[in-house]
Amino acid sequence: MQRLLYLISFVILFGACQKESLQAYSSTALVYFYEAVRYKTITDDSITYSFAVVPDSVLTDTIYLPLRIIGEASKTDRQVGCELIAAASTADPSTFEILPAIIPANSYTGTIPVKVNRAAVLKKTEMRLWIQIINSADFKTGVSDQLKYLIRLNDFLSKPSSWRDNLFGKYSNVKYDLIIKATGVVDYTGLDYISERNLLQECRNALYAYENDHGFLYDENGEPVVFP
Amino acid sequence: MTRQLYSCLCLLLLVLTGCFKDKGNYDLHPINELTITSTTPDTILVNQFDRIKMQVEIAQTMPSGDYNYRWTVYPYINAGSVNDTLGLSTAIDTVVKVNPGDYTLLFAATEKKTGISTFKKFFMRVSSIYSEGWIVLDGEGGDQQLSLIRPDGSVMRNVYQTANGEKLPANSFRVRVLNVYIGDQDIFLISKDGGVSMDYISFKKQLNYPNWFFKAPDTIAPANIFYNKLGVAGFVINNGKVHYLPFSYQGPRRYGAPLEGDYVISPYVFPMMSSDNAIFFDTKYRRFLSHANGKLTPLISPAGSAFDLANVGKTLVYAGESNNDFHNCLFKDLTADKFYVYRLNTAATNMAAEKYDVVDAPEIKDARLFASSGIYLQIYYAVGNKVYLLDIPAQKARLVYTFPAGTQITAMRLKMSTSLLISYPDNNRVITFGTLENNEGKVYSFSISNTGDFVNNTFTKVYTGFKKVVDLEYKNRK
Repeated sequence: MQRLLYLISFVILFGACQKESLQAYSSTALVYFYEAVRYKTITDDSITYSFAVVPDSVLTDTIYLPLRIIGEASKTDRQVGCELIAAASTADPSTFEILPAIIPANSYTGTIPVKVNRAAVLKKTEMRLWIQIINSADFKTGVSDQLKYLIRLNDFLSKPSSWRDNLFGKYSNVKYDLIIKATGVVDYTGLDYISERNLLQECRNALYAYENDHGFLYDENGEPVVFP
Repeated sequence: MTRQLYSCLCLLLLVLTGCFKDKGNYDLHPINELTITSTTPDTILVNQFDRIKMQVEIAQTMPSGDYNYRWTVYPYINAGSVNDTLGLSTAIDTVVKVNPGDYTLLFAATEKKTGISTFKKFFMRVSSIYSEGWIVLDGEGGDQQLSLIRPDGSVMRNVYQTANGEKLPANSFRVRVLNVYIGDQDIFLISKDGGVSMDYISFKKQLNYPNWFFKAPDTIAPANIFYNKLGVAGFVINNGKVHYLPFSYQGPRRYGAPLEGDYVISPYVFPMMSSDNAIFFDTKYRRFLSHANGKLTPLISPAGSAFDLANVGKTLVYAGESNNDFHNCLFKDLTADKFYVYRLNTAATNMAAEKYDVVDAPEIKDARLFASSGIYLQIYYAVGNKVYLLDIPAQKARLVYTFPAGTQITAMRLKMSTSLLISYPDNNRVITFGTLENNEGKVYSFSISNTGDFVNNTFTKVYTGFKKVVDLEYKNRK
């Protein structure tokens, strides 16, 4: 009897030595906002869209909020649940519309399209739209601190999320307006150093030309506009 | 009771196993050492697309090892470039496909068991028919050509049209060969209305002048292009404005918008030794400007300076590199034909270092061709068929050579390295002249003696069969 006990113990012990194959993630797929990391510390968890930096002919546009999933890709399109957090948002319904969001078939990424409209109210007030991912039939909510995305929407100049003080110096609306007029560039994401240098030089030249004709250019805070 | 005793005994045995003496192997055993030899010399000179056959012999102190072998080649000035594998045995028999330049050819034997590698290095210099020599720009208007006088004296004529099937831009006036710190070599041709860049291997056209920039300048009026001494930054002088390009950063090789400011920059420039620094002369306000990191700043002379950097008050006639970090600037009075040499020390805190009057320099007021010596305090200048040598401290010039009557000197260039990374055995010791004699262009080469005069008072070589020579530039080996 005792020997039998020893034998069983041995069998149990050696059972632990069996190699186990890797187990795939098989629970319900999860979805979250993809926050790209730029310059090591800056993450994209919000976006500013200003009609002030696009041609007057543009009356509507669509912003795409990036999504990623945890889980397997599917052979069919899958719906992503999302909603406006009304309590946290200041949003006039005439200025936006959240369109149906999907993760396309055979994909691990997708977007939430948000249609934005050039409404008169945007000239004076900035809308703040907090979009939140919620559970849907196809997805549960994923990474807990990456379920909300902020859209700032206006029709006046405001500091773009890609603004970098180490490139242009301190932000002001007047400076941003000068940059847009001199270069036509409104988004400073993904620029290499040499292109940045050229962009900055074009801005300096524009400021130099202005100062030759009019003297110092002052911003909305009463400070002279300067570039590094 | 007996059972408990057995259990305790077992436990004791288990515990006592920890007291076993470690009889590990700590003896030192000699390893197999390799000596790699080859009948091929350590320096290999080949032409691009030549076939090289090499074999190494391996002697082992404990002949038994099992090895992997690998031949690789990478640039001699190695800026993290990827190695090309040429072979995986003790011998190679392959065609040299790398671009002309200097390389390290490395043989490595790696013991499979231990991963220990033993190496043998060879220095491999790959040349091409266009590797090195004097580039000659000759002809006028829309009928110009580039030729290369190779070190062996052979002349490769009309190399641009041969490579590209098209003529040079009309009214070209300057050829420049410039070197980037990572070893790249660029060839530029500047014309009255633009220019082209070419590759150093075949003179194939790369970019037209407007495409050298992010945005083509509003007024196309090229005057000069140069890299600073380290080859980390490039500058184009266009319409009196400075366009800047730092090479040591990621991004397209395009010159940026002109640096802002109220200035008109002279084509004569002052590349410096460190970083992207350079000095310029502003012909509008007759002052020196300093460049660093894409910004121009006026230079100021402290008290006791030899001259006022912020207000020279004279016309810059010519400037060129001198010994060490000095540059010679030949100035002329605004109204009178009176000349001065101001010496700028670009390495000093106070750059306004020395000032000399030019007391006796025959025909200097008519001279258009100048060449500052990089080793002596001298400036060559050419007028008509005569070559003079201005001795700066002596404040006077002497005639050093006279070409036959009727000869017109049309170009003059000293063989001088413009880069800290390039050196010539005869740096500042050879000077060439382009001449027009009976409607034939010729190129004369002279050796310079220790006094600055020409050795034996005559030329060492003459090359004929050109049109009017417009410019000369030495292309360093690549």
